[in-house]
Amino acid sequence: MKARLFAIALAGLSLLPASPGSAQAPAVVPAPAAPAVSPAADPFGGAAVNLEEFRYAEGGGFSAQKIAAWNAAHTDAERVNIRNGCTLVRGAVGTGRYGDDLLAFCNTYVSLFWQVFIVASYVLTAVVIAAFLAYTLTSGRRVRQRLAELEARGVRRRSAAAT
Amino acid sequence: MAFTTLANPIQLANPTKFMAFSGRLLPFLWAITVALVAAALYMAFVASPPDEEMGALVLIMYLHVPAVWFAMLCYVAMAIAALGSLVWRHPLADVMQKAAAPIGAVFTLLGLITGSLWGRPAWNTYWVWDARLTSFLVLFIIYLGLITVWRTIEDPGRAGRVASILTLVGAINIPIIHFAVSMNTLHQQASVFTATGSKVNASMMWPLMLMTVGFTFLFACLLFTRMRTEILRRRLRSLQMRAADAAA
Repeated sequence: MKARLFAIALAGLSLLPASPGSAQAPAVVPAPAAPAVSPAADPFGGAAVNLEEFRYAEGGGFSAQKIAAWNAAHTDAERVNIRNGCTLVRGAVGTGRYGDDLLAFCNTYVSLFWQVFIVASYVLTAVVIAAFLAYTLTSGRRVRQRLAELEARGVRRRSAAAT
Repeated sequence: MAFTTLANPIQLANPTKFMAFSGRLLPFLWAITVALVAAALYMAFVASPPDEEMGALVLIMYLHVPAVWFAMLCYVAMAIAALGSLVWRHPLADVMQKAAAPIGAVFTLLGLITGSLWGRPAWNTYWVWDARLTSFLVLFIIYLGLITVWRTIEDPGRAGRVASILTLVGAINIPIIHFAVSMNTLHQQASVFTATGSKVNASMMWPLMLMTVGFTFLFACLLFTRMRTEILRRRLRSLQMRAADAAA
């Protein structure tokens, strides 16, 4: 079963461009007839990922809606499994264990998976700092207004009265 | 005025002179902050390559590391101010402590948020109760405790003494956070400043350092703005008391 899923994954990969983000890339390497990996060591063994769906999500560059839709269509376990599998694939670069197409898929997938966290980090940081700055400026303005009200009523500091 | 104050910084102990000095300085500080952060973002997103292991995820480092550094540096500055308050009765030491506590809390919160968002794809978890992460969470709780002390004790002098003692006691957490990476933790070892030099490639070190300097100026801007507000708040309080006395 696992070997079959891996073969399906590789077959799906043959539809992907050889390099991520390059629509004009030449035809990719055909999927091997049988993976030279035992099913137990197959990093994609437990992940029933539909690569056509992934390709749809990946196409056209970064899109929050597409990524959200793709993430929503897959379980957390699937995403983590693919991520772990990609870590193994990237670690095996140059060994001939996996094809370049699978590496391209993993590079694209991993950056897609990570973009959500990167964007979230920057957006949340900007929101927190902006909110804190707004709070700081607003409270300062309020204090100045109350000081001005008191001074308008003739209540002044001794040093201000002396000058 | 600003140059003579810089030549003789002891003048800043006078709140009125501090108000005049910081009022002139703040627009320049904000301009430098915006320029530095913009340059750091450009270098991080455009000029800096993805990391060999982490890929684009390295982009989170440019926020997480400066936020964590300033969460701790802010506390060290508060501890020095607490000493200044308790030992030398410096007039601005209490003001500085009160103004800095929320800033430190914000940087700590940012460190926790960005750390969790980095940890999920890198470690496969948002959080673990290990020494580094837990001691950093304790720092956030200490900041919240200090903010609560300042808000609940009405007399600023008494609040200052209580907050100073609490700050100095809580300072023990800073070396714990620093050395916690040597304990059993998922968190990586120190890589920017090590005994054998930096382990970070120069192409990533530049945006990191630029962002750190940008955060330094941001910290100064926020601190000066909040200190000015606190000085005005104390003036307002004394005026309100005078008004109440006059009415009585």
